[in-house]
Amino acid sequence: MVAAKNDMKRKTHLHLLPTVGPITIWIFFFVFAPVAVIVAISFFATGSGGEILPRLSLENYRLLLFGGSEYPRAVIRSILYALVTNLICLGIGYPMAFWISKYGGKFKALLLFLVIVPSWSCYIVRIYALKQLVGYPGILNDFLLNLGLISSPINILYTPAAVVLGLIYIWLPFMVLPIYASLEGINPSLLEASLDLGATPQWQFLTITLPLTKGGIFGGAILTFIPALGDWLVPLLIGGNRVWMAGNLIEHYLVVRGKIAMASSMAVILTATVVLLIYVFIKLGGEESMERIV
Amino acid sequence: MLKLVENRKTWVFIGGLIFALAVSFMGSGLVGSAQAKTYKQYVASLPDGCQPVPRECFEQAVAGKTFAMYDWAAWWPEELYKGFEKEFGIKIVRDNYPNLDEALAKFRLNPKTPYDFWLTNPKSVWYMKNWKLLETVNHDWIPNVNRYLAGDVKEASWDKGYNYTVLTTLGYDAYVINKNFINKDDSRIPSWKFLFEGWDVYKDRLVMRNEMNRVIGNTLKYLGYSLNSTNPKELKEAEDVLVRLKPHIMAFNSWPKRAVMAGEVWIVEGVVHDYLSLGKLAGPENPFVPCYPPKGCLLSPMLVVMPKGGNNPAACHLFLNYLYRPDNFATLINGVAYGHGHTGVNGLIKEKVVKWMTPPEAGYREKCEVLLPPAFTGQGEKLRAAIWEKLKK
Repeated sequence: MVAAKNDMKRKTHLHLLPTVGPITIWIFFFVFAPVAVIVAISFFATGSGGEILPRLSLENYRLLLFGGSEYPRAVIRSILYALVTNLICLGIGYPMAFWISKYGGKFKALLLFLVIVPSWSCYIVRIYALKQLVGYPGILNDFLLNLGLISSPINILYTPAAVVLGLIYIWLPFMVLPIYASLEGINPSLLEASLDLGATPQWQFLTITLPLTKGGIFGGAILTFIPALGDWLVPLLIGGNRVWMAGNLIEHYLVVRGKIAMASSMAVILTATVVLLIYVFIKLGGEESMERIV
Repeated sequence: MLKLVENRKTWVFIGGLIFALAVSFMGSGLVGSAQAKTYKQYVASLPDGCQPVPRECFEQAVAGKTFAMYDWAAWWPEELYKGFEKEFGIKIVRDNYPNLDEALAKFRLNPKTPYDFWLTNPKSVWYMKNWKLLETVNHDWIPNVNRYLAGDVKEASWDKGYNYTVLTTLGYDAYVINKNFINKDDSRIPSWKFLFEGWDVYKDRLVMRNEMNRVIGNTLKYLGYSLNSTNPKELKEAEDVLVRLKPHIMAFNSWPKRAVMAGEVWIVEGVVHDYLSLGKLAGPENPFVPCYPPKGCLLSPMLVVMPKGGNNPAACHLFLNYLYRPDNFATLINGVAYGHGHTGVNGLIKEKVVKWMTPPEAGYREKCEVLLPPAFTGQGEKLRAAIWEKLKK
């Protein structure tokens, strides 16, 4: 009986092999293995010329966390930028998803397509598109100047606000989609029942729609928070490299200063921070937030 | 699907496609071999005043078949590369870097990176020499370089005796203004004072390079110190200047081409020649005015080195000798409009390029400095990194 059960189990696993095997191998070699290499390097000492010394040490972590380094501040700054981005994406994305779901009608597919289509283009192309839009000379400034609403161009680019604007512009679709999926998953009879029982539309939204889309909100929050936290191109190209996020500091240590082990320690700290924050998001959003991401 | 596979026409089409791809692939591997010169033809074809590489170098280079170059994208004129391939039948395999620090990081991670030629700066040369990753230059294999490279350059501080490097171009890292927006007759121009204090005029439309050693170095120059200073007091003064300037810096960007061309940036700190060469794209009148501060500035030599991981160092010697032929070097300077240390090329530079280059007055180079190890190693590097990190808060 036991042998038959084991045989069954083996059969089930063998059946999975062709489907999950390739992706498992891919993830192992291109996600876990590089991360393992980075973690390992982070524990090696750094020589005066930046070279990796064959000596294990916690010195990099000590210097970063307790040695008066700029890095903890850069991580906190990145978290703040990512949180602000998240909240604004939610503020824009929820009504957008709600409107498409409720009033989109036969145009739902088209509207969703319009939300997704910018993310089909290359990341850098989108950044440069935004620069053309809000820079000077730029479409927005020219428009406002021609209307006479402003007398001199507004400096939008190369400011902290521009960094947040860039992050929102890039990651907004990833907030809209999970929320939309959640909204579409709500059983309409629940909404009808609430109206039958005398709920106003506002009360219905607060007590039924919003709690039922919690998973989508947290799923969207995870999808926008992680890339926004680690982003370094938006501060570089839209922020004018005037204010660094954690990713920029890592790049500075790795490329300019050549301190590979130190940069690896920074990457490990940032990854650990992200993992911790995702755990918090999942705890708050429940299992559905993970489902919405998938 | 089955029908499609069974269809003879489809098979013929697929076969033809594979054949065409194979032919074009093989063709790409045989660059110029049909027209490549023999050693005799090569020697006979050289213009007056030029000498050939020794036969040994020539044969080794040609036998190597490929030449791996690591340099800037879209900078040197393409005809230099094409001419070399055509003349010697050696295929050039180019790889480009976005900046020299990233290129150095590549060697740091893989010391055996197989490039035969790397166009780089004195900082990288110092590191590569220390790591023993550079081949020495065989002077017997580069007669044109020996003949035309200026004597003072041969003994320059970055590599006395040019044992590891050969200079190609010299850039002045100062600043450029757009005269459409800034009055070029402002009394503070061309001193550093205008860049560091003239925000009332340039209205915060200043872009500084995104390179800590260069920016801090030029700030030290403005204060009258050496740009290689390691004195904490002098560096603190430089930090204060930069912190005061930061609200007026629009962005840190090492090559803000689009913004400069669009008139978004009015004043930019960087290698002046890069912006002067943009002038030819800006219309009939070049709006960019080079400013060479009387106190001097950072000198940026671009040097050719041969990393140890390279497979065909003979090809690098052959290329250097080819590059230093006055006609070829003139092609380079006519394309990039940079300063240089070639003594036989001046008569070959086009008049409009000479005008457009606007070089500094004679003797200016002596006031300038090259970044030396005290600035980018040890205490000097640590202090500079701390300033830079504070600046990016």
